[in-house]
Amino acid sequence: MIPEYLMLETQVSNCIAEAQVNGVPICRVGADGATLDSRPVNHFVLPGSNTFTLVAQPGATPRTALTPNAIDSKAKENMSASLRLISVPPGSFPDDPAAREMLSVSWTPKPAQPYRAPVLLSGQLEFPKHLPAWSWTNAVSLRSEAALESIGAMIGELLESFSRGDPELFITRSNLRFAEVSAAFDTSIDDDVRRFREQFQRISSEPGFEMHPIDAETMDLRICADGKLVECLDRAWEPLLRSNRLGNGITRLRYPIKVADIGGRLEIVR
Amino acid sequence: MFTLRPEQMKEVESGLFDSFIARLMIKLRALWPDQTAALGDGYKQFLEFNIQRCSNYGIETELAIARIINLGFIMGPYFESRPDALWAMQILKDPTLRGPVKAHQLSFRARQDLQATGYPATDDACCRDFGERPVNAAIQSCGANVQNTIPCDIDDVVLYESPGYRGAALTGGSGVLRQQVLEVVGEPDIHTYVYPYAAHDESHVLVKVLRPGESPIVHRTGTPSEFKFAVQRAKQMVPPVTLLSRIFNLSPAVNRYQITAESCGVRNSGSVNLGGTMTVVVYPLDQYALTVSIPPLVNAESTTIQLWHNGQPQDIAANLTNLIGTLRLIEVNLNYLKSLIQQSVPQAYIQWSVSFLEGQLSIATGYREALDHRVYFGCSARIALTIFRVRVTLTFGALIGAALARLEATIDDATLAVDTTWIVEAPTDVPVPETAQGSLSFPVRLNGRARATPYSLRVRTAAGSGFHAEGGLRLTSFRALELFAHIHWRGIDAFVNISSPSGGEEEMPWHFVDSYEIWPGMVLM
Repeated sequence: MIPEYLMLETQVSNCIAEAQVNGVPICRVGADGATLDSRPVNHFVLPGSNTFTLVAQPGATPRTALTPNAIDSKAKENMSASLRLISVPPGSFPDDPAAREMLSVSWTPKPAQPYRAPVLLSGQLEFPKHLPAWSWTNAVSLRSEAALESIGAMIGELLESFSRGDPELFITRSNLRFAEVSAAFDTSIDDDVRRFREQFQRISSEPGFEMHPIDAETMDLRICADGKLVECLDRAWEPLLRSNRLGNGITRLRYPIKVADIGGRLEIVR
Repeated sequence: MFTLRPEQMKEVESGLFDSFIARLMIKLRALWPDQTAALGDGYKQFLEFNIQRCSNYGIETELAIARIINLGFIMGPYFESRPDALWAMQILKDPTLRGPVKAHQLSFRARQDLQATGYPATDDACCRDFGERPVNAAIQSCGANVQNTIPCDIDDVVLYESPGYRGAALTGGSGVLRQQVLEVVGEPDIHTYVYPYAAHDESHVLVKVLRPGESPIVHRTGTPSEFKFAVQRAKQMVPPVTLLSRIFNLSPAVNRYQITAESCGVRNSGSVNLGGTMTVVVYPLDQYALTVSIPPLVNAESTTIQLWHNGQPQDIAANLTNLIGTLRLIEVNLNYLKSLIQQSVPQAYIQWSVSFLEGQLSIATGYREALDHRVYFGCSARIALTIFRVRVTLTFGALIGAALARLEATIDDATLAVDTTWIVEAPTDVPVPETAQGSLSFPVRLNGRARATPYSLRVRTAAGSGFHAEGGLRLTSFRALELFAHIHWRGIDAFVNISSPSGGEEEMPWHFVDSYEIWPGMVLM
């Protein structure tokens, strides 16, 4: 059984912020009305030194998230962003007394204080050397147009498969992901795969369900983790693999995937 | 039955005409012996010719003809054609003037022109001896004025409020339209000054004062004179139901006194002034001052209200009961909302503070007179009311899909306040500016944390969750002031995003807490 969950809490007020672990984007908070994101990140933590980064007021699109603005902006009233890493025993809540704060980074500008977006604040933490080293750390760099084109093609195949109601291609391409997540959280791979399959089948059989078509014009593949991962998003920060938005504003299903080149083959690793 | 055949009618008419000629010859010979003697045998023909000339100008009654021919003796034959008497031709050709009026206006204008040299009294003599009988009519029409007509006209009728010395008047002799409504506050004496321009006897000018609920006052005068009458305020037929409608009433019961002045309308020049109507509108004198103080948080017992009417404190126990009853009901409804939340999300922990109508309301009102004879609703008010203020933290657990979540719904010290000052000190001021009311939504911020498992959770409230409040002071359709508030708890609906590292992100709508109407609308005070 996993000894503890590493919960990353990202909280904002009157701004947008992104949290990253070792250069891998984890979540983006504040754009859709939610002000708190709380999620486990055991599967992103590496043995040795780890960098936890808060990106306040990132750029407008995924690829420009870290591009510095040309001019200063002025802080609004009650503007703040924070990131906390909390060690939480299984079954506890991150705000329980049993939870232990391991790291905290925050940005709290005074009203009208000038700042140059994006604001990057980081903290370092050492983790035991015996933790697993995730597959993408030894992956081939994806910093080439050819690599991005290949990823685009793979996304197209996955979409076609999902549109047929078939999740198996995605499952096949996600073998490493299932294996590493299972290791990080001490779960059964078979159970995880079964739950994945059931979730897709349940939601895809709902009336009105359709996968969202991919528009090459708005595709915004984002290279991260020192070039070893590509986050598959569009310019509106939406995962490329997702269902169509329903009339009530709900997007029932999203697959925010990160892809790596493992031994010459593109794999969904997160 | 006696009937005249046409030939008999002709004989009668001819007889009457001859009779008039005969009487006119006698009268004018007495008045103008030398001139008539000079006419010799042509005297009768001269008169017949002038009667025909008068007829051409629409002058056909005995008196009018006599006065015109008499005027010819004074001013000379065909005087209306003389360059220095063009006014005479204008009067004679004026199609709006009746024959007798033409005669009177010619006579009086001539009297004015000849005042320096002396105007003979022959006109008055004509007036005594001839009537308004048409020279060619055998039968009088019913009600025809057979009396001698003498000038009767109004120069002015002026009303003054005492002791305010503000006045209103009818059209003056100059023809300039003047104020004809006098608005007064209270019950002053109204002084009425009547200025006849000319009066045919003491029965004119006739002035009547029509009084609500009382018999009219009738005043007749032929010479400038004064009389006064008292006015009374109207009785309030329906007593005001609420405290605010008692002090802030833009449509009060008023009494209207109507003053009519009447003359026969004969003048030698200028516009004829037959009469007219003036009105005195009497407004209530009452002056009110109200202060309301409501403490922070809903606390009916600590509320104070004081009302002064004309400087005297008033018993407002009934109104106080109304407001306190409202505040108590708000307390009850808020407590019910708490229980409703706990039913919706069991084991919810609620921390909140709520204020309703907290603050101060001070209003002084009354009707006041402006210098331009108008009465206006004077008001001086300071309103600093927090219609609704709420601070809520609600913590509860929920099983959302596969994740057990702890959620926190918060509203940070949200306030709907009305803070304004009204000063109404002129008839054109607006009694209730729009800033006296406000409307605001207090959205809930919702955060959730999943229990430490591979599942994560993100929630955001759907549009409309939280409170909606509107309120303030406004004018009712009856033009009275009303304190109102509408507080609605819209419940909590959310969009929930649940995900696991190995699965997809699933998003769904989620209803946590029902909506509830806390206060539906109007607070009667």
